Amino acid sequence: MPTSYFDVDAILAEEELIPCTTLFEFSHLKHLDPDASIGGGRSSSSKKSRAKNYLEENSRIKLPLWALEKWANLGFVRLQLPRHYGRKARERLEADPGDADLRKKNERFFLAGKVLVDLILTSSEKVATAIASSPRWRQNARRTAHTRALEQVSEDATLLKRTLLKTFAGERLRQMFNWALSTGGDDDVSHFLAKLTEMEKRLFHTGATAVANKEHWSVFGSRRLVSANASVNKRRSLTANAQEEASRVASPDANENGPKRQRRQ
Amino acid sequence: MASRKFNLCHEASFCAENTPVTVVPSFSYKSTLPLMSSQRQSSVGPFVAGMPMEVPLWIAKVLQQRKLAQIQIPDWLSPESLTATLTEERQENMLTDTLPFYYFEIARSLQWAMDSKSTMIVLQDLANVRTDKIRSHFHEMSKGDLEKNEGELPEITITGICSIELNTVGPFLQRAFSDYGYLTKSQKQAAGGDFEGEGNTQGSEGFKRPSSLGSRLLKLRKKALS
Repeated sequence: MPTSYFDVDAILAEEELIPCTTLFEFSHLKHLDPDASIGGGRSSSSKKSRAKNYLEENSRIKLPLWALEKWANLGFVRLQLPRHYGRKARERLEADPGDADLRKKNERFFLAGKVLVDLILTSSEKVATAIASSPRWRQNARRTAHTRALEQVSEDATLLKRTLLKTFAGERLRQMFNWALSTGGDDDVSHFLAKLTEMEKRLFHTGATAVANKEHWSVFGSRRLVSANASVNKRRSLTANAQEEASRVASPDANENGPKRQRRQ
Repeated sequence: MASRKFNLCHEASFCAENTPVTVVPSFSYKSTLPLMSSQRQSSVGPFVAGMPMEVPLWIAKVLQQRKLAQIQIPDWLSPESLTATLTEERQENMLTDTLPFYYFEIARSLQWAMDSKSTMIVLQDLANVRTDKIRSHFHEMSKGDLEKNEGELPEITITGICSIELNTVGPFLQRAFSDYGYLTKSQKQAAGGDFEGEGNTQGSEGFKRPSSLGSRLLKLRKKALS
């Protein structure tokens, strides 16, 4: 899917909540921490206690993808894969791709996964190169540990990309193709459609409408193609469809003065 | 209903009407009639009553309807040769290339000029067998995709595919390849640095033209036409 800025699918897919670990303290953001109790009364109006509402270092929070993009590229947070993209879920997915209910996890499973993988890979690369290119005296154990964590996350993300591809192009695609090409029994398909993500659903519909069009055409035939200035030309002209000719009686030059009738089959 | 819109089948049946068929006119006309629509013939030649001649299908149907000529069914459309093609299809793994590109559409237009009813049945069977072959090829390819699921898809050449199969499976496959290409693509950084080299090198422009993989199917169509 081409993703422009206004693409609704991309916007909805980026709603995915990603768990991440903050690397610095952020002031004024204590409300992001789910365990925090934002208490205190009016006394929080003073400057000192306002700055105290800070989000501590190494706290795990969940933010949506669209919010995380800038922070990840700047290296303020360390990303992790959400639970349904994690290792166990991936293994379960690879074991039985045809039956997994991907819609329950995220309606735009593939899209969100792809955007997430891209973000992780680009941000890890950027931060790692930034760390590597910083002068020697600033490097310490913490930074090397951070680089190693980044590598691990990148590997995980690459594996996720592979799994996404396998799931998409594997059994699910084959089942979809089979179902799209068969013309009978709409009822049977709905329990299969309920498990498909948005992307797959659209794919299925494209295939199914193509087949339905072909069936309709092979029974009913084409419409008469009408020229643009049909109202000017009042002569009734011959059609290109043999069925209409076969069913029509008498001579073709009748009705010279009437307006051209549009016959739809 | 979506099938009332102008879709691929209507376009195909219209283009099919340009194919030449043999016709025996029952009138005579000395000079030629100029044609705009056909590349092969610039005009329909002088009509001599009783002599078979080649005209485009749409002219043939007009003439037949006005009882001015008789259409001769082409050789490949006779029941015997269709049954032979059907048995050949069932045995072969690849699609036969003996059928003209618009075989189904031509047969459907000439349906009322044919005298035997069994031709349409054999034709339906033929179309089903061919679509099934494409389906099984696609299944094989999907299983093969899983092995090497990074990088380019191979360019798939299917000789002998015809218009009716293209219209049936075409849209689905186009979109499927497009989606696959999107999932395979690697994101190039704005700084111009190359990524691990994984993924489709066609995606080098970021998000532009992700359906360029899907347009491989259009190449199939062109190849089949040439």
